[in-house]
Amino acid sequence: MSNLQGRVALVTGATQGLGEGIALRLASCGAQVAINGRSEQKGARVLAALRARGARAEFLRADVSERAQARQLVHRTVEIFGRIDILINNAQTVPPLLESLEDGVDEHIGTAMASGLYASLWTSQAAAPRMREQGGGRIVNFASINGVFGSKYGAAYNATKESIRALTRTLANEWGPWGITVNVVLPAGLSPSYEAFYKDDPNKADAVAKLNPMRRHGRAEEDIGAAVVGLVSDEARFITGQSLYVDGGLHLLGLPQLHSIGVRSRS
Amino acid sequence: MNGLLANQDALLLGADAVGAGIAARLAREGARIMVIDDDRERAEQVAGSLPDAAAMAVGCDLSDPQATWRTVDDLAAGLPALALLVLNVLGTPYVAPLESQEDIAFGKSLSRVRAAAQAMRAAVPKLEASGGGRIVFLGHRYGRTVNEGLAAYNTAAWALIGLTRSAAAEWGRLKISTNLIVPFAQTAELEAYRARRPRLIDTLMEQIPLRRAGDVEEDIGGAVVFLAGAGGAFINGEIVCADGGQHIAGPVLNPGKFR
Repeated sequence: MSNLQGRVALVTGATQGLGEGIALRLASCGAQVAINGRSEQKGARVLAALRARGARAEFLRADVSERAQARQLVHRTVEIFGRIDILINNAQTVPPLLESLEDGVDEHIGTAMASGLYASLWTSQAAAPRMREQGGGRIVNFASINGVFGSKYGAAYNATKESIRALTRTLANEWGPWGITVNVVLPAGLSPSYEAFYKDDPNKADAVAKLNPMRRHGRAEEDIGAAVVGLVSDEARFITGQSLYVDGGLHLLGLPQLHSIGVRSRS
Repeated sequence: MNGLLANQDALLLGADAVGAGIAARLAREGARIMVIDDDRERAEQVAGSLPDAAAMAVGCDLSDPQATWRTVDDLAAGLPALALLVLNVLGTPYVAPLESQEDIAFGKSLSRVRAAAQAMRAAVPKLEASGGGRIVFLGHRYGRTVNEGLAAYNTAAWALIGLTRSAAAEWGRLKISTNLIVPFAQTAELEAYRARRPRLIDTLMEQIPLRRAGDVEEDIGGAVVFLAGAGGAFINGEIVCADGGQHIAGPVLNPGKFR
């Protein structure tokens, strides 16, 4: 595994799912890890797992959809660990599926953008000057195959995720001269929100796994976590502005429109 | 041997400057490398520069699909731990307007793509047997965008993406992931362009987010290690730009046009 000894990483939305897997992998590779979330209880569970691997780790409670809290989160990370080398902007509220003519789409866009686009911007803005002083840094954002293909009933989520790709490229162009790389991962890995999507129909999960060229779902730690660790390691130091699917090749064959919102969608 | 690719066997087709950098980086990560090039002496120089007999050299006409199939098939048979195939096969561009690019120009460029396909076919049983094989292409930025005066080269470079994605779609079930790296590398060729047109090259560099061309060993070789290592297990069919961000940063200049 890559060597991240001496590096300090902050992972937002790290109390479950992909964020948890990424934090665990970073810790296993020697990084010191600040994990963030809104729930102390969930945070304590992941923190215990990180420390069990011998990592220096802290849980920092913050709602990154609030500007002041997002900025403060980065500052506290630097206070506690003395630096910040790696910022993983994984947090994202996933609004319920909604037909785009319905009332409520505006609110969903507001929620999704605050926890996704704005949170990624705010933490990055807080971290970049420090990374510049240190001679560089790594920022990894998260987008989605659902945004790329425009999965139905997901306007708020999809639009947010595609906006994060544009933000990524812009920051990469602006901050590259400071030695900061900014990349965006489009993962397909098992997480609570992914599993919830399959809850109504277990066959759907199998169908999607079979569609995948690798004939399986991604694993939070071994697949998505390992790819993110690769991106923030020395090996990937010349990669910036990249959209990187970590999905086994699912995107190559297109994405079936599997989202449904009950009876209405079958009419 | 320690390293991210310890005790793996790798086949590397193409021993130009980028290939040499990749070989050096793979060796540092503990891989054993078979270097194959059209020019046997060039392959030997690359292999000979690596420590501890980490590499061996083989000559093969990489524009001959049948010869390439035979060579890779023979070599793969003797490599118990073949887990990585690196295809750095694009040839030298033929510079001329499209209306002057005769069939022979396209034939020469595309024969190397055909040879790469045969190398993949020959290597796939061993890559499958490794339980997590990787294929990494070295493509070109003109095979992601295009440039003027390079029709046959553009076409061949784009064809590599088709080959990458076909292998990704079909061989993922064999636990093989296939990806393509678009490098932007500091080479003698780029230095020669800089000597001739310093302001043009400086303008190009100023647009690149990381403000430099990549080191063939640390940056381009590093990207190959990223995809060949643990992080590449679920990355499949991707175009990964090891280019300092050149792909997002503006016009693709073609220094060769301004000879």
